[in-house]
Amino acid sequence: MQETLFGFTLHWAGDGPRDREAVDDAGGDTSCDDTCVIAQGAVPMRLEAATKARGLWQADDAQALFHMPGLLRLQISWGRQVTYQLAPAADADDLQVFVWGAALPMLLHQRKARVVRGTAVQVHGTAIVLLGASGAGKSTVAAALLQEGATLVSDGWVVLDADESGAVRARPGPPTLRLFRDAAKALGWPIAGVRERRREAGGLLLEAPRAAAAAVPVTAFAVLDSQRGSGKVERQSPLQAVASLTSESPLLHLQPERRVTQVLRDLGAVAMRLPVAALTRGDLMPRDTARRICEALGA
Amino acid sequence: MSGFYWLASYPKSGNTWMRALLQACYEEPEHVLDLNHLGGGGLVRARGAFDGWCGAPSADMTVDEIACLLPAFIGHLAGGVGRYPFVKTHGACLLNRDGEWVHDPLHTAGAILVVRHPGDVAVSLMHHLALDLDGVLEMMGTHDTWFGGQRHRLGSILPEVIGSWSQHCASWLDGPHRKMCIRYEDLLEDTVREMNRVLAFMGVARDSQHIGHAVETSRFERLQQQETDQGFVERPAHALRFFRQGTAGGWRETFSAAQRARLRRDHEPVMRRLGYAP
Repeated sequence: MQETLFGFTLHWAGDGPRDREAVDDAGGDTSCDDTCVIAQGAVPMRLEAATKARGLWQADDAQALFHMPGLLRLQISWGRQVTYQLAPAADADDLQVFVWGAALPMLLHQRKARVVRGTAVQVHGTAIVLLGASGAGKSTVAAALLQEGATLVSDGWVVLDADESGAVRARPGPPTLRLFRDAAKALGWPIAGVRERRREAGGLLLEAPRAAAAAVPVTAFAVLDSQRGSGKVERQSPLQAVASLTSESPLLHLQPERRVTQVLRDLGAVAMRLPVAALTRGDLMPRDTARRICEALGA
Repeated sequence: MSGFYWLASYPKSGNTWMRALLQACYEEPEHVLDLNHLGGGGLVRARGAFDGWCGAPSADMTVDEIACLLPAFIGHLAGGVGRYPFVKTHGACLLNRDGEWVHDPLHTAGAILVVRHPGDVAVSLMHHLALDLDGVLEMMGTHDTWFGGQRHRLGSILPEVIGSWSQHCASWLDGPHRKMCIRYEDLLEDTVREMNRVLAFMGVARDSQHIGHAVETSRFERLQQQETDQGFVERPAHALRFFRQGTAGGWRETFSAAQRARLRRDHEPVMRRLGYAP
């Protein structure tokens, strides 16, 4: 099975002998830079040369190891390979969500991509990137925008490219949106027959009605805050804008120092170039939030 | 002793008031209490901080898996106890699936259990959660009740087991921590006396003038006025106000005979243990 996302191909190799060869081939072949192979294999408990460790992770300059106790271990190597070892209790859904939620951002870092936590939606030809803490409502507001005719660029992770002219683009991710049941119901999004992302964890994987096929120019970033609020959209100062963007770079504390410096410099430059606005949502409903963002950012 | 002092309470039992009182005691008398920057908040349940520490989205985890990771996360946070060593928790004091205490005693300096008559808790919760009284009594009487579950919606707060009201109180009373218990009613009756007890438990020396000032700064009416003037970030979207009445015994006017009987049936042993007449 193969899927293309964020400009490269994920090749799910399974665990057969032929597939194992595919992993080895891809791992050793420098011409396969647009492909990453995911395959079953033995994953060590510890990364011998680990220089950083925190939470469920250990990392060195080239590899990283993720351990979800009682469920699975993932080894992410050279930006090209994810090896997984499942505990007996784990199933395919478990693997999918942790490859997406944990391995993918590490893989993107190893591939030198500019990745941030967020959701990018194309409105009238250009993309707005929604940022904010987990549970702030990024996917829900994005879903409200999709209902108004917008196109999904990516949900969960946003990968940004900047060219020499200073233009910033968001690469297309999978054409799916991660929503919880109550949010989908409140928006009137049909959920009959939709599959849960993972048993017992809750959350649904919804097909976006329209999904971008190519990178989309980014016009602005909107930082959502569900905790306090006036419901106003306010442009952030340059310093706040840089902090907003750089703090959304996932797993940055596990990266080598030179990579951290590069990420901070790159995202800082993006924040200085494009408007970053904060929306203190308060009690504002998702549809009204979406409308205010579009009005304030001229989308 | 190192680690956190847990301000443990079932919701709507006076935890926020206790945080305001303690913050005022920890600060110099000229400190102006800002309700929207109150110390000792729910850092240990902040989803963003948890996700950042573990390096994977908790939205993709089951509530049991989160509970199994919490002791290590709390250990991580306890390594950097900040200006205020007290942290609120509504979670019951329970073992997780791996047999570890979620509120790890290794990272705990002590537990201050704040309790309130369950009748008043029920009335306050009714307004807080916009539920009817029978719904609230059902929740308060249900063993292993979850707060902030994520089967249907994702909030910025991690889910945790608060338990039934009785289970919650008993779990902390019988838990492994060094502990003390404060009754909301006693705090209302003589705030200075009760704060002296709390500060002595925490090993914090403050003169009577300082404590008197802290009590005055954190008076319920003042907190209520601040909420009116500036709003309060911890007020749920569907609740009209967070600081509603702050009294004791009002439940008697609200409860029907059947509801009183239910309260007695569900909670009498623990009520007696805490000195509340059922």
